[in-house]
Amino acid sequence: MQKGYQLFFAILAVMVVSWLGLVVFPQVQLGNQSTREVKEIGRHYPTEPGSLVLNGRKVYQQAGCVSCHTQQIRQSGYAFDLVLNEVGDFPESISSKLVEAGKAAGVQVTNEKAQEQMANLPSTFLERVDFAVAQEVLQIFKDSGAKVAPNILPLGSDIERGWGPRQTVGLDYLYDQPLLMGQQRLGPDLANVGARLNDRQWHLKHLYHPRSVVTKSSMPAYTYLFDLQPIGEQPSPHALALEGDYAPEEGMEVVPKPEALALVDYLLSLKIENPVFEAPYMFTQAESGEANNVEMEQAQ
Amino acid sequence: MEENPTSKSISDQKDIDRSYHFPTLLLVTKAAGWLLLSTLFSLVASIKMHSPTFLSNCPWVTYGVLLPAAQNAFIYGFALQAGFAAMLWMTMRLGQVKLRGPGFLFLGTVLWNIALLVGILGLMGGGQSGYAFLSMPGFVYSMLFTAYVLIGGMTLLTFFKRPAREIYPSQWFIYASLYWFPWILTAASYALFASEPARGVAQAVIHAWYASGMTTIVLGFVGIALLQYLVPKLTRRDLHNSNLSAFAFWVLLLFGGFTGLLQAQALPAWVGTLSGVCNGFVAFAWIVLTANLWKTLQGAGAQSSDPLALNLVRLAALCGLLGALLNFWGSRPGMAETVQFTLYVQGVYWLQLFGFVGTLLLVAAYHFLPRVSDQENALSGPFGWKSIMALYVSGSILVSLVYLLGGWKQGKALADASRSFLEVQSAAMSFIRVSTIGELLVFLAAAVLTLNLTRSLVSYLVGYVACCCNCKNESAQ
Repeated sequence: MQKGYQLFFAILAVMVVSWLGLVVFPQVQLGNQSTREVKEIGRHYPTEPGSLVLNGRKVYQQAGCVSCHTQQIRQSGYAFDLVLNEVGDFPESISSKLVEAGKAAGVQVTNEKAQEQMANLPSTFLERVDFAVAQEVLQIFKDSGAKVAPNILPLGSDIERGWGPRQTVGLDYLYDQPLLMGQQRLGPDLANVGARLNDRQWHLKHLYHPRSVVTKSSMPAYTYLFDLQPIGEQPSPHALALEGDYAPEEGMEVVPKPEALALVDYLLSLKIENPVFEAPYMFTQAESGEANNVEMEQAQ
Repeated sequence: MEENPTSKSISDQKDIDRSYHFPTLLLVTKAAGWLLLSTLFSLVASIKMHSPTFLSNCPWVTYGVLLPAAQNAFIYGFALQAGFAAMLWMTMRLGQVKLRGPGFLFLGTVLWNIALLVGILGLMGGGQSGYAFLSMPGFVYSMLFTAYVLIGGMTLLTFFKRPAREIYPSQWFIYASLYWFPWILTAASYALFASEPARGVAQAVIHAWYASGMTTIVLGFVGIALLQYLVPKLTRRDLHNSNLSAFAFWVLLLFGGFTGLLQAQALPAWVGTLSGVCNGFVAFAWIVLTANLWKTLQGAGAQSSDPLALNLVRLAALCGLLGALLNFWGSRPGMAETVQFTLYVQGVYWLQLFGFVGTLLLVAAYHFLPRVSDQENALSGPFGWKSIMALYVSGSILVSLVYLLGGWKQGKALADASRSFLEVQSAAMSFIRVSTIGELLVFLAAAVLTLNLTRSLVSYLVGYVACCCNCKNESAQ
């Protein structure tokens, strides 16, 4: 190619293909997503964030938290628990089918154990089996009269660490503007931090001095989000209850600025608490929104 | 060799060279200044990892602010500006043409630096956009585009006015880079910062398209153009096979724009798969490119006019090849899940941008500055070229290796749920702490470089003013 204009048009053609493929097409495929009704929670998901949360999001963005934290939970696959809910009209045949199901899963199930499982319904008779085994077992119970249901269990190190109940999907980011998914994990994933660590005071202390709540934390302190001020007639209701080396001098208190409160509002709003079509899992209302204080130390 | 020295007399060549003196010296000096700032930001960010309370009272210097500030200062301040200077130099030498519109070029350089300064201050002052490589406030990109129209426009105008009509392999890469940059800048900034920007995860794909285009094509092509220009110059040989260069050019151009996409599960599966496949093509093109250069270089050491420069070019080519191979390796199924979210990504970034592009830009500056200035090399002396390159290369390689190794270990630990996150974190932190030494070395290199170039720019300006005064006095007499 020895002419400038030939080179120009050839490069232009490649640029247009690249632009159509990675700017226009994703907009067409992903840009028109909208909220969806999730029957498990009985409402549309996701909900639009409020102004407090949006203010906190701005602080998160300004401080560059996205440089160290991701908001994407990964999943490597699924396992299945198989639950016997009803025995049906032919209990004598179910016992042998339970033994047969155990064989299919490579687990030894005796007749006595099968009887015991049938006596305590609902009973999880096989745990964490893969898709092929689950399918085979369901086939064994087909037309038997018994009601057997699989419970879907997402797998993966992020899930096992308790960072969330399922992988994140495109729908979770519908209202994220700009998108703060993050690409580096120097700190833990925050996609579900509002559900797993829902203690406001803990988050405030963690921002003020991470080592005041997580001894070996290497997260930098964000002391500029707080005022160190003399205690007035009444201590501030927002003052941090700091102890030991991190406590302020006598007569002083550490009070979060509005930016710190907004940031914590935002962190507490980050929740993955319901299954969606693309990422199903066994959902129970009780497990959502439970703070786990032990986890606070472990998750860090 | 690519250029034809017989087409112009030596005095004509000097005239042509001198027409580039001030614009290129200005661009390179500004670039060095931004490199200094970028490495300073990286260094402070790294220190914050050792001491969590260091500068914790200042919102301008949080780790999350310093990291994108360093990245943007490196890309837009150092790599692109030094790249513009290198592209101008190659356009002039290969086309045997005087610089067109030096005034516009000067204006463009000034505007570019003002835009960048506003952008970096905006980013640090709380206007961070949240997108890596596009972290400055949205309005800055229209300023950068305007400045680019002047700089890139003058480079293209100079190209079109060349008397030597043949187009060499280096020039393909230069012009692809020059056309690609404004295209991705306008398309991505419009899609992400317009009044009705892209929604949801579509933003991630567009942003990754911009970042990979910037690394693989815009800056990558500047580096490859320099490789193809410097190797024949330093060995006094023609490229082994220019058809292989053409092949690599088209493969990189066709597939390079599709690499670097996220392997995120929130995105459709085709995004990560496409990226992985295209990374394979890019790695193959790099193997072809390197083989071609290797054949050119075979037995050339003794003939080289500058063995040190040639060795640095070799090292840069190796970094480029390794960067492409590691990108491909890290995007394979099974491996992508391990290295995703780890320091490995930073390691590849350092290898490609600091090890490959940065090294070649510094070698190019060393090569062309004495020729355009007709003076003693601004980078000579005990604290000159050798010190700068020794510090820069050792620092860059150290940081790259530490991040790659640290990222691998971090990824393995992340994948093992039985290990607490604190364990994962402390494994990564020990590597970050070692990388501080490398960042310090690169910072020192940038400091020496900036000092030398500023001295050279000031002496040029003083000489220019003295010459003007003499001319006035003579005309008055």
